[in-house]
Amino acid sequence: MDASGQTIRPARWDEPFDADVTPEKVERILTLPPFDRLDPQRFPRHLPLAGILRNDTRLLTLKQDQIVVREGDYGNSAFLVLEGTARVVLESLPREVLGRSEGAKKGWFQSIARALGTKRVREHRPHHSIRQREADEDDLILLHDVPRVLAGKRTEDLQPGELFGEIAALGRSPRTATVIAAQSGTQMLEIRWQGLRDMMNYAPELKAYIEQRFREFGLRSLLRTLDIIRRLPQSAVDEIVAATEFERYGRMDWYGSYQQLLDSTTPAERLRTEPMILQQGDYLNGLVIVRGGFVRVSRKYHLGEQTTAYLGKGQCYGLKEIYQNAQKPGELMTSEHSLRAVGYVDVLVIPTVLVERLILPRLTAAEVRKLEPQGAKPKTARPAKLGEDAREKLGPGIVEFFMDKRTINGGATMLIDLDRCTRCDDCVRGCASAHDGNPRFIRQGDQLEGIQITQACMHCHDPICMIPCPTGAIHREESGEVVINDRTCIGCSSCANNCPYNNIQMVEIRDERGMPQFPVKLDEKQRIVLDSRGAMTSLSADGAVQRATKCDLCHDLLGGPACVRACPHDALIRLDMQETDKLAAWLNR
Amino acid sequence: MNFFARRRLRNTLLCLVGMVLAYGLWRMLKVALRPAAIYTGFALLALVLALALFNGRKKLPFLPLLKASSWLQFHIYAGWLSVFMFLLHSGFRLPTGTLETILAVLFVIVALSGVAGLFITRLLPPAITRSGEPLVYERIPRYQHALRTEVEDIVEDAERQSGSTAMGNFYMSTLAPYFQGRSSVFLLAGNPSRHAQRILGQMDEYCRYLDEELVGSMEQLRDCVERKRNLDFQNAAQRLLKLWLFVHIPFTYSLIIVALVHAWVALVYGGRL
Repeated sequence: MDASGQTIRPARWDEPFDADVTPEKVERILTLPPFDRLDPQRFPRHLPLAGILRNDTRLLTLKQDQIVVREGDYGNSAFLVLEGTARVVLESLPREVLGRSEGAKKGWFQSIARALGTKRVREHRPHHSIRQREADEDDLILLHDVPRVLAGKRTEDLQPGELFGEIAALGRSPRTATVIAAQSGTQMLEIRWQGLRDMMNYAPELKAYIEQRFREFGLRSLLRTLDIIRRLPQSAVDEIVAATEFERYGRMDWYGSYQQLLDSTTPAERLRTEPMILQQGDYLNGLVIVRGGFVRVSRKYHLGEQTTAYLGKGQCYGLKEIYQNAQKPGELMTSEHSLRAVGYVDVLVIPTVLVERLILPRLTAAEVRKLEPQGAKPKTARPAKLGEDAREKLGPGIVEFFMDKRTINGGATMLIDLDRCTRCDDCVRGCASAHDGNPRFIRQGDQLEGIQITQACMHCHDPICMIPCPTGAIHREESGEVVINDRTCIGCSSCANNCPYNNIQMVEIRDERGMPQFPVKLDEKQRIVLDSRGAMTSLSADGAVQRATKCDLCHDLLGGPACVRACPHDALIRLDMQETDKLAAWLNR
Repeated sequence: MNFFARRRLRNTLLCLVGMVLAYGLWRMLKVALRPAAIYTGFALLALVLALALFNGRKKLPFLPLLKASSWLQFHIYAGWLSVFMFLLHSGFRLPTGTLETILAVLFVIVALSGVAGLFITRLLPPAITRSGEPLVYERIPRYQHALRTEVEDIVEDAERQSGSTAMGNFYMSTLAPYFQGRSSVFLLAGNPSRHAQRILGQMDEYCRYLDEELVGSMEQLRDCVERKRNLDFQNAAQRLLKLWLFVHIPFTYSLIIVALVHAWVALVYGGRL
């Protein structure tokens, strides 16, 4: 290392969210609420509040009726109104009104040109010192004919100092409402979720404020996704929102020790380590709703526990028992199953008294039939998307297997039917041809009953790989895929280390000659030090520069994932593991 | 009826309808005294070219050209149709001229290798899956080397600890040829475990001359024999899954070239060019 002690090595804040956020602007932002109430002294030296604002935020000046966030989009940022007014549309707007269109896919000619232009060098990249700034995307989408579009829709105005979008950004979930600028010149501060998370960590008042906001706004939206609550009058929903209890089970960093746990324990031992949410035989204090994470539903079977189903976000448990107890108060029905937290789980509990008073009287006849004792199920019942009956549909071994491997988190898990796979590797070649000659998965993985869970990114419902990314390079696309922005990835390995399934690979990037790229030396004026031949001074002792790579589900290709299209034997599929019916249909082809 | 059975039934019916239509047209052309061989020849050539496009499709997975599995279904059933078209074209008789004979032989090779490939790709994968630990074909030589080293270590340890040459002798006479040998695809003809079973039988027999400690080492070796059996089977099966294409594809290209020559000769000498 040179006297200046400086090198160019990709690092957090190399690429500020917005280079136009100058120290002077940060000074001004710090005088505005809620930042004026935060104590900068609480922040560590390596992560100062001003640094977060300088690097993890950007300033937006919006035109009247410009859309800031759209309902249904996945967002990685929260927004703070600085000047003007933002309008939240509390009801859904038609897709075309919101300017939705299919994502930019490569056409035929672009695909062919890309294939022809594929470098022979593996993991070739332009030199890392040439940071390619993301092309300024034209984010401007206007909501046209606002009076007509919003006629009869409930809206709410947000004033300076109010925050929005934080629930979707922190929960890695879709936006629940559309927000537009109500006036021209409305100024907002967009905060990357990493910055928001860091601020919450060191500013308890901000954390409390955001949790309070969740009860006010996020909880209502979440509850309204449930059929049994959607039809309730506003006053009943208000009462439920006020009384709902938040409970958390498990460790947020479960993925850190998961592989070790998997290697060193038996399935029965692992099950015992999962925190109990509700024990079989206990009285139900309330309706349990999964807010985040996954819940194992099991029952006693001989000397062990048999997994019967799993519940994901927005699914609930306990209505049957509460209904039975309300119908026959003399015959107490306790929980038929145990509920356990798989990893980390957030649950909401609506007290039984409220369920009995507000929800049960408004159940439809079909819902009531489903809650009756066995044998009274309606023939017209909608096929369950829930984990209900998963055991019957998928087979006993498969359910336990998916739970053990925690692949239930997968939104696009790659499964290979090994009884049909000829090991031809056409899938791997297909993947490579779609990614400049670099395959983005490994055709190996855990298997049971001839089904392999292949080592390819599963595009998890809860992508914990995104949690530690310091630059936001790994993010969720509007269409739901979890992808890595190669231009902002600094190769820190945080995402790869966080992925409990080992589905993110770190690769050494190479130049056009196939040589690894190394950090280069900088002088005091931040200029690259050149040698006598004019070449950059590589610091090979520091190790080659890396990037994180993984399956991107070919989100920019027409026709979907190349691996699926390349398999001639119908052996490979990408499946949302919560769609039990599809999974069962595929397993029982 | 599951998905695959439904698809098989639908495609078989479509194929049979195609055959009936082709036969009807062929009969009509015959009755009308039209040159049926010219029409069936071109139809056959078109079918063969369409079948050969499947390999081209496999090279372009990044283009939205239907899924490869749909192409394979077309390939299989259009392949059966091409066999029927070949019979119509040849007039259900053996070829006579040299060029025609070469062409017919090439067609038969391509068709038979295709049928063999179809059966191989349907029968071997479940057997591989249930054979034991899954193995990547390209890494099998490395696994074999590691296994051989492990066996040698077990034998050396046993010799050192017992002070007897019993294990060394057995290794040299029986185990070394087995562990050093590489399996061929012919292993799949008959019982693929026959070599392993023979070695295990000899090990059982030899155990009666060993003490308790060496019997323990023999148990370790039994596990190695089982792993070698899996290695050999997977090596043979995975190799065969790749090898048949080395017959099917080159002969397809040869067939296309000879078929084009045949078409040109037929048109020129038939006075149509």
